[in-house]
Amino acid sequence: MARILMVNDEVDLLRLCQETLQDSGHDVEISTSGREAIARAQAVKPDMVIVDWIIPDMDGHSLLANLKAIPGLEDVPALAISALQDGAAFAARAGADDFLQKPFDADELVDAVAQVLSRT
Amino acid sequence: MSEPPAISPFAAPGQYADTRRMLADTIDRRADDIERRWLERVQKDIVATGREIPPTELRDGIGEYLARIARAIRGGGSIAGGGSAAWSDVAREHAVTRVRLGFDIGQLVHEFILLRRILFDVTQEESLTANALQSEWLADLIEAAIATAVKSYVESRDAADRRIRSEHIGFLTHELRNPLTTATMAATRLRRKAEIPEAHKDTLDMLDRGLNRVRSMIDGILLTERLEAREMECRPVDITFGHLMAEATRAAEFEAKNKGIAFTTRYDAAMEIHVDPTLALSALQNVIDNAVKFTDRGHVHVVGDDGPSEVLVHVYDNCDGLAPEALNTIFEPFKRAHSGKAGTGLGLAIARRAVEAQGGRIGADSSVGHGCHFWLAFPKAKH
Repeated sequence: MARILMVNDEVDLLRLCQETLQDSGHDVEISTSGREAIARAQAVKPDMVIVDWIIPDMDGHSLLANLKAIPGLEDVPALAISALQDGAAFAARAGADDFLQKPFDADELVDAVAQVLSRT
Repeated sequence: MSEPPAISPFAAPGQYADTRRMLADTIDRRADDIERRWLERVQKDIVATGREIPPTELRDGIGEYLARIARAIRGGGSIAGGGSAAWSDVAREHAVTRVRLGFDIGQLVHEFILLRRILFDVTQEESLTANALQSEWLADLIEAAIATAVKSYVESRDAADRRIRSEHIGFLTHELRNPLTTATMAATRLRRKAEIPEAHKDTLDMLDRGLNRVRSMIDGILLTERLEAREMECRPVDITFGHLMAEATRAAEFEAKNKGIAFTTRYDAAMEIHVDPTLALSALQNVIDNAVKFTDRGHVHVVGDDGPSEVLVHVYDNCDGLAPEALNTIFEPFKRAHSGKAGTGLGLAIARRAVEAQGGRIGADSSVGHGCHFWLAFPKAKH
């Protein structure tokens, strides 16, 4: 099971995702801003990151670039989530490994995480 | 509005050549002066309406326009006839700036009227306007310019309106999807808790159905918007009809069983059609799901007929039927013929756009009290 860092500015959603993924046996760290996420990532060195494409202090593109610039995280698998209709295209261009369109339910989240982890 | 007519007030080459040359020379020579005076007048009119616009924005294209008037007069041709493509560029550019500045059509036309007045003043100062024919030439040229500018203005304004609307819908749906995700996640979290009493599972089903309805409403609005903006790329491929129908009838079959009504199909699964699978599926699902939704007793029957160039899908149901006047509007967005059933009023509008985007057809007939018959025609694969 993996250590996952999830970044999202909506606290309720973050907690629901954390509980869901923990039920599936993952260890989930959460951050509500880009800056906080970068600090957490340096400390915990996650096996995977889940990033929302729009967070208040940073866009998904630069957040992902910043995370991947941390030594040891160059190839960290990334799942992008977004409510944007064109989110998939943005995520692919920014080098995310997969994209999950909002809204999603608990099963879709668990499946998407399993897929990213199995491929990388 | 169509292209302005070619204006040729110059009866024959050589005729009035001197007058023409003098008028053209005057416009060329005094172009800076004309432009400055025009700018002052436009500024004055716009300041009078309480707006402030930098002169560089206002001047846009007018100098070039004057040069072209002079050239048209000298050459004995016309702006609209001689080099209309080149003049259209100036007009379009000018119209785009005006839309951006928030001008209405009245203000746009007023600018040209001001220009005509100043041109007449200048020619008068040069003692050139004794000639009635000259006044007519100028008036014709200005009118041709107004026609082109108005046409460009309307096109440019419509494009700007559509862009704003599209951005607005994009923003709204994005904002709706975020809390919907939290609600959906919360609902699935609840369901996963083993200790939920049987009686509450029904309540959870209702919650799920409500959330799913909001979800498909958002998807529907986005799809309609894209089809309207003609952004939706239609990528037709050859696919077997059975493959498409299995997917298109899945939800309806399940729902029919739930409601206790009969659901039957008859088609040759091996038929091949040439469609965009996403769009065709969306159209079929909307029509078939609708038939089940509005049939409370009886039968929904789906038939696929192999025609010479099309596959015709018939969907027969036992709904209450639709009045003839309702049949005319059911494919319009937000027109709901039935009340008392949940729905966005977008389903059939989406179906029509999705079918027509790929060269298909859709229609309906009905007999009140007996039911409806919807049909969709898809182009067949060419072999």
